[in-house]
Amino acid sequence: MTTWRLLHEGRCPARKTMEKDLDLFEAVRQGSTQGALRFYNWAETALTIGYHQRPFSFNDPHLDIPVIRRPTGGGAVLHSDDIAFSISTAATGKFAAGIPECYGILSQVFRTAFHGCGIGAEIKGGSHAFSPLCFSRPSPAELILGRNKIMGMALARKGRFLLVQGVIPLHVDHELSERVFGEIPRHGSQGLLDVFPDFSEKLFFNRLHDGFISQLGVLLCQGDQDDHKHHCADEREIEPGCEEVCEHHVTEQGEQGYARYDA
Amino acid sequence: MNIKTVKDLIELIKDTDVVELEWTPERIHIIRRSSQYETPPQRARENDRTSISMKEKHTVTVTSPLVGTFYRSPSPETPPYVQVGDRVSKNQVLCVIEAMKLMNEIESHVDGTLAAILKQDGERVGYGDQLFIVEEL
Repeated sequence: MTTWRLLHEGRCPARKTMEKDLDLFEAVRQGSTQGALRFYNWAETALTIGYHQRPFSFNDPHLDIPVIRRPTGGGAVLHSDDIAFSISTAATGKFAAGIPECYGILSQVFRTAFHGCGIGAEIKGGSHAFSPLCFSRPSPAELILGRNKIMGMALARKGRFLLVQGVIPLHVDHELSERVFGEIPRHGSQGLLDVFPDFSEKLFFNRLHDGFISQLGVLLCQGDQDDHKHHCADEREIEPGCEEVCEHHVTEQGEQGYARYDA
Repeated sequence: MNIKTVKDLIELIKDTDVVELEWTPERIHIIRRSSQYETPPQRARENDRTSISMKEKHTVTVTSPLVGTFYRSPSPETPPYVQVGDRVSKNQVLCVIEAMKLMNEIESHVDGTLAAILKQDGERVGYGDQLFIVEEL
């Protein structure tokens, strides 16, 4: 069993998000931790673009939101209300396979978590071609619900280490989307809560945690990025290095309103 | 394009002065050269300045580990990672290849001097394609 640090960071200033992901990635590369799964959302609306994506002008020239370049590939994503995450890991084990396989295994873990929440997400085989808008269509092995792509992922690889960045839109602000991208079809571009209002983040995180254990052999330990104190999110198995253990299954409300899940 | 078409094309250009044929959905690009040259003109130009010393020094060729798009810079607005003539160190990033939304940094395997860049920014590359030549120190 591999132990990864789990971080639920709540709202993060847009310009700090990529920096934090890269800090974690570097910590994994340096061997400070075996892996890291970080969840966060956005302190303000922002647009992220792919590592080598050419900037484009907003459809509304008066719009003023930060545009941030990701260290990973893929197309533009408008972040207003979503679950963003990053994974930093060595490209070993199941992550040692090819690119489609990496997307595939992660999509399977997340699909299982969605199914555990009663959401019939499916893995879609999409086009390999680059799309300037991430959510305009699914890429191979990405998750859809009906006609909606419900999760996007992109990767970066440095040596034998892998950084994954992903996003699950909860609500899509179509008016804002049009100001950014111009007119785009509304069907197929709904947030998860738009199509499944009963979605529970707490339940989802619990199911996801189970999926990381059963499908990836990864135990997630709650950990603070700065002081390196972390505790196992699953008290069924405590790994060395987890300094504190959560007492029982008590759900806490994070300082910044982000639900910390219990196992 | 199916395999028969590829075979037909190979047969068609065999024994001609065509040394490179690139076929994409958008265009067909043909380079014709006298057969005494082995490299296309563009690569030959980039190799010119170092061709003599390369015979005398040990060189290492950096190849592509995957199929994707070759980028010389971290982003469209920033300068290239490296230029011909630059000193490069082991594990220094030389370029990025993007495939399926994966940005894959390609590093130098050795300390040395960059002798040649064999691909253009934004060019599609295949598995094992030669990307750089580094003169090892």
